[in-house]
Amino acid sequence: MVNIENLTFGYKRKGLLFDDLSMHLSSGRIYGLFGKNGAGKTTLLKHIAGLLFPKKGSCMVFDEHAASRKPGVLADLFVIPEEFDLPGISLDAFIAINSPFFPKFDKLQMSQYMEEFQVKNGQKLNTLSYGQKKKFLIAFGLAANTRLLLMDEPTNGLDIPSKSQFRRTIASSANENRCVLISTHQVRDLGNIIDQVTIIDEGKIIFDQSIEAISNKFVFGKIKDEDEHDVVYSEDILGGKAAICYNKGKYSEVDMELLFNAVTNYPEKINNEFKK
Amino acid sequence: MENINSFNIKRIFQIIYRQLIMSYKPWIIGIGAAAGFLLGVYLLQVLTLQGIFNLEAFTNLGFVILFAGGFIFTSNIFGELQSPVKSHFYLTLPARIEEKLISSWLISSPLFVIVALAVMFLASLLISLVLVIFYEGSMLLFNPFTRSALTTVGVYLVLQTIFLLGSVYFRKFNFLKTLLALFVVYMIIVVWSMIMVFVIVRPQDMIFVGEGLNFEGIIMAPDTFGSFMSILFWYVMGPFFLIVSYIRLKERQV
Repeated sequence: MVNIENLTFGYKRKGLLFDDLSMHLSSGRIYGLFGKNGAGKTTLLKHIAGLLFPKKGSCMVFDEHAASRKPGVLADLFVIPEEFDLPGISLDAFIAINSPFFPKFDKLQMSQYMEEFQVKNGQKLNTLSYGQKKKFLIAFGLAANTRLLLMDEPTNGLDIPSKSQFRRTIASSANENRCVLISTHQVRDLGNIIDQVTIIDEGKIIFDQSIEAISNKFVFGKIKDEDEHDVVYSEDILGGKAAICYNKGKYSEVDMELLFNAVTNYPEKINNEFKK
Repeated sequence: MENINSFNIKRIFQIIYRQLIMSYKPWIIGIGAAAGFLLGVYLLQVLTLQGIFNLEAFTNLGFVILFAGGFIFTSNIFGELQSPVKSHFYLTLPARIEEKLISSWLISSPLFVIVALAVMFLASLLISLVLVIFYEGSMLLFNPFTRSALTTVGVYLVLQTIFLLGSVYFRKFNFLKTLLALFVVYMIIVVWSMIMVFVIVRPQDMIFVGEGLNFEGIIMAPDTFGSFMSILFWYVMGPFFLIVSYIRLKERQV
């Protein structure tokens, strides 16, 4: 679905951000793209959406160069950016003027998603709060039924119930034809819904593993004494240590924050565990 | 995939409809303000001069407003593209670059001209009605189909493409930057022309008559030069700026 090969890119006067970056996204999966601020998450998303062009290498989406911005690619791709502004028109008007560009747009689904997110119709978009605008745009992006959905920090600005609703809605909307790429630095917000963890740091993909592979390899939990466990990585928390240990037949939920910290601190060590 | 990627006229109308719905309010305010100004000036003239309406002056002012308003309007036609928080919507809108450019050109050029001429006609109709009702005058209506009116519209259509390029090219203060760019280009052409005259036509070949120059003995072909400039203006300039705008839009990144 998305093939990035040897991508090199840098902003003017800032040097190279990506140097020889490669990445592949497949359909039927939800990818969590994690990274610190300034790691290059948004820039990577912009390349996939054809909003930025590679200096070297290629970024192919549905076997077309993303930079060519062909209608056939764009009609099957929707971007929910972190920062955006919506026009001062009604929600219905926005749907009426934009939905014809997306052949698979489903108005019934749009109503359902808006109901789930508690976004009420009959208002003007510019009068909505940032969180409401974001939920409206997420609903539109899901109802567009594009094969590729790119979200940049989608949980920013959402309140706690909305974050939970977001996770439920994304999980329920997943299907084998759709690929969702969610970029965020709030790693905890995406727990349970992603299939693949991709971590980017200093313009490089430093970790790219499926949740299944991670769960098979590691267990995550709270321990009191490192010596009693086969610990891969640990950090102090109140009343003990949060640790990643080798899986010896006991499965646990992946602690995204702990995994992220482990990978960014010891990328080689963690990656080597998957090569064994 | 092939079908959706090919040029689609229906999509052009969808883009125009989208842009009209998103921006109609400021456009209506602009049209209202321009029409109000034109009406105000000439109704005042009719009232103060006891029923005298100068249609020629009305037409001239109307065209000045059409040109100025049209250039400002055109400079902002890619407003969504130039906004850092809106540009991704525009750039990822599933349509061909040509379709996006053509729809913006259609709105800011023929559609704008039709609306502007209709407003001028309606304003002249209103003033004429005041003349007829209150001063027993005759109807003096603006005719957009005269040769001079059509030529003026033609000039607008050509010059407008420069501001369309400015709208795609510059990210902020598009109108002012386009004007500045035009001034700089104009000055370069003037200086270059003067240099060329002095290089090709050596000063010793020139005979100064009074304050002017007499190019006696030098073969000049004013008709050929005039025709060349005319072709350049009417047939080359517009398409050239449209093509450059297309290339710029195609290469545009956020």
